Amino acid sequence: MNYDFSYRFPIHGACEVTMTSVLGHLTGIDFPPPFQWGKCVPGRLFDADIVEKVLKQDVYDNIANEAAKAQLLMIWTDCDREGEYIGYEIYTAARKGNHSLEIAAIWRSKFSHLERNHVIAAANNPIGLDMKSVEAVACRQEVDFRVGTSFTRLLTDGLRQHKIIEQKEVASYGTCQFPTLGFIVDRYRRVKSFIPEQFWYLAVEVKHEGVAASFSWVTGHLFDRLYVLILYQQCLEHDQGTITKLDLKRTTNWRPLPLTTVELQKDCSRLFKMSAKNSLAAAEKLYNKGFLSYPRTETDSFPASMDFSGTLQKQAQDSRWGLYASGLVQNGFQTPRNGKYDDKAHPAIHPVNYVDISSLSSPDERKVYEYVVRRFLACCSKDAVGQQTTATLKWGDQFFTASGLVVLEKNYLDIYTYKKWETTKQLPNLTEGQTISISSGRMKDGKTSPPKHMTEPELIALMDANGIGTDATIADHIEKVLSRGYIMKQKQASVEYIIPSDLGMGLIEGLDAMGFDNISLSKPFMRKQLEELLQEIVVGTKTKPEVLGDIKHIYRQAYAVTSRNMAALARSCTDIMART
Amino acid sequence: MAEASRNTFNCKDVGKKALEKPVLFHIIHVSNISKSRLNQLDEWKEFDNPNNVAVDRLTKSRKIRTDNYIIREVNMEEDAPSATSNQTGFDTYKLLLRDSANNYCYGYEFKGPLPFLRTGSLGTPLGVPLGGRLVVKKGTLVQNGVLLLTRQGCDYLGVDSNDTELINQLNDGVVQKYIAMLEAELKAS
Repeated sequence: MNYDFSYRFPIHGACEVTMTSVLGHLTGIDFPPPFQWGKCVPGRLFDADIVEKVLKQDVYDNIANEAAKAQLLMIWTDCDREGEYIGYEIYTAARKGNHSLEIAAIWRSKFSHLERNHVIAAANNPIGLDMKSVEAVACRQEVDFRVGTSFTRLLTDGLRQHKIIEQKEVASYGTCQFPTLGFIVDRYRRVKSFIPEQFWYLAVEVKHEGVAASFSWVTGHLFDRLYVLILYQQCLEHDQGTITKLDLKRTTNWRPLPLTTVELQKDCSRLFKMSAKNSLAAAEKLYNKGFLSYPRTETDSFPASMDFSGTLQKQAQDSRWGLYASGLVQNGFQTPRNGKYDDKAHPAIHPVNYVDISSLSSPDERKVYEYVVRRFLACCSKDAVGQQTTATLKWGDQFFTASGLVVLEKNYLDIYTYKKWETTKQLPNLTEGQTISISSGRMKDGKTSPPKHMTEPELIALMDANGIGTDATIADHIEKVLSRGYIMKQKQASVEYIIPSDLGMGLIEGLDAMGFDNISLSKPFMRKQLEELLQEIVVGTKTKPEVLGDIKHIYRQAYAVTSRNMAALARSCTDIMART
Repeated sequence: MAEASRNTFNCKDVGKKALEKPVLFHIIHVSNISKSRLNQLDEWKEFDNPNNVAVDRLTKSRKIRTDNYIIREVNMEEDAPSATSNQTGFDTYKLLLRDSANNYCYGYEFKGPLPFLRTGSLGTPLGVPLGGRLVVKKGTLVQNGVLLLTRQGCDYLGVDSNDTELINQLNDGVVQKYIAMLEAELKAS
């Protein structure tokens, strides 16, 4: 679909503009016919030629045709690394129709949401295409393609041969998929192999003016009965303890940080049981409708130029949070806290325009919009304030503490209803230096409890922290391992856990047992290293051929080992399937 | 030191008393009694081979290694620590000690951390090499047959070149030995 209109660009004057869209990548890469599945050994794919493949011929042709009549090309793809690369694909398509278009002459608009004034400002101040980001994406694409295809063919052929998967099934390998699966398998094994251990601790109760208080041991607990017993014996020589310290402290419960994609996905999963994919999809729809800012961002801060007052004012009309929003505008709002991440492309996710959520047909969009707005209002609110009293009790040579909290001002918690912080049971009226009789002093024991299976919010956090995927792709990777049948979602009580399937388990165990030379195909290290190298391409300290060469070398070795040990890998899968 | 090396420790008393003479010991083994064995096993395994360690948890604790360090444990709850969590900020260690007459006994860290157990330069979860010499001073509390070691109550002399054989015997393959021992203890529990 093409739209024609005229616009006056300050640097170029009045122009006739044709605007069109692409919806994701226009082109992909492929191997030429001699390297198709079955035609060559998969190991050759690391060095095989690569050809460009047009994925959407109609879109591609449309751009080439329109470009024939154009003097200038302006790119409006999303302002992230991937968007930069798609911009380059558009340029390639356009150049097919018009050889006079030069890469240096491309106008690239920089924008992070679709609010009118913001879009006009972006139109008036174009920059150039960042070719280093383009190189980085091209590098990642090639690594993923060569490694993914070679290992997928190797695994699939091997597992089919050993009748572990059906002849029609595919066992895919991806440089992000397997580390993702690795997290889940490791947790599953940890739960299964858990052994409870006994520990011992001291617990004290005192009573003052009829009010009882339980004190907990500052040492926590120890896994040594004899030692705790000795300490307990020493305490028992004393009937009384002393309040050695009484701390009255103003405590703040900090308002949340500005919202990143990963936080959004974690919270939506935790609060609304929404999958990472669905929450991002809902946020993207809201972005495309102009209600939210660009939802793929690692930045947890807002630019100094941000119009907080205007953004808050737009929310004032809402029946649920409007009063609170206008209160912030009238009585003064806080500048949000700034986190430490900045992807230099987009601000934190925030509402751009108001929409009455009851007018949105999708329940996911309603929840995501409300969450983003409440989060933004919370960011602009004051921290919650409380008064915490902490008493320290010395009994014999051991120290114990007890504390009570009074919430004085709820502030942001009034609007950020997703978080609870409440006044607790109060301590008796103690004074510093007071001796007090121990009404109960006991040596108790307990057992360590098993860890829980992996949940989606935890998996997202792990992937993010270990550099597996980006804010934009984490959801896709989880979805991919799910659709390959490597993992399953299982509901226990009201919580949804992720556990590996037999095949997923077998593949990871098999790969881990292969004895690679100081690398692992199921752990996050190699992927993290790749992401770091890609970042070096972006900043210009490394080039694409250098990175490609290094990474290919590592994976080629891993391929050789896997290829030699295919029978053992198959055995590992059969063993696990036989066990269940 | 000269006197301490002649003195021996062989206490079978259940009661509580003060050490009558200073005694020189070798540190034969150090164990952490604040952490579960499973957690310790994870730490040791990471030193053994980071590529073999489980990666399913994000931990906020200190960075042990900067290369190939995986974040394995994530705190999904912002709640206050539970009633039995350690608020002191340090772990408690139990030492297996041996005197010059081959008597063995346990010594526990008492009333605060012993700095010599926390040099942290070995590149393993262990904060002190095994086989070092420790003088436990006169007056140190002995209860139920074990020594309660305080900072003032003992002098750490480090590893002595005369003890090379013992030191090598204890420290060679220490990572694998700790792993095997923790695994055996877990199996028995």
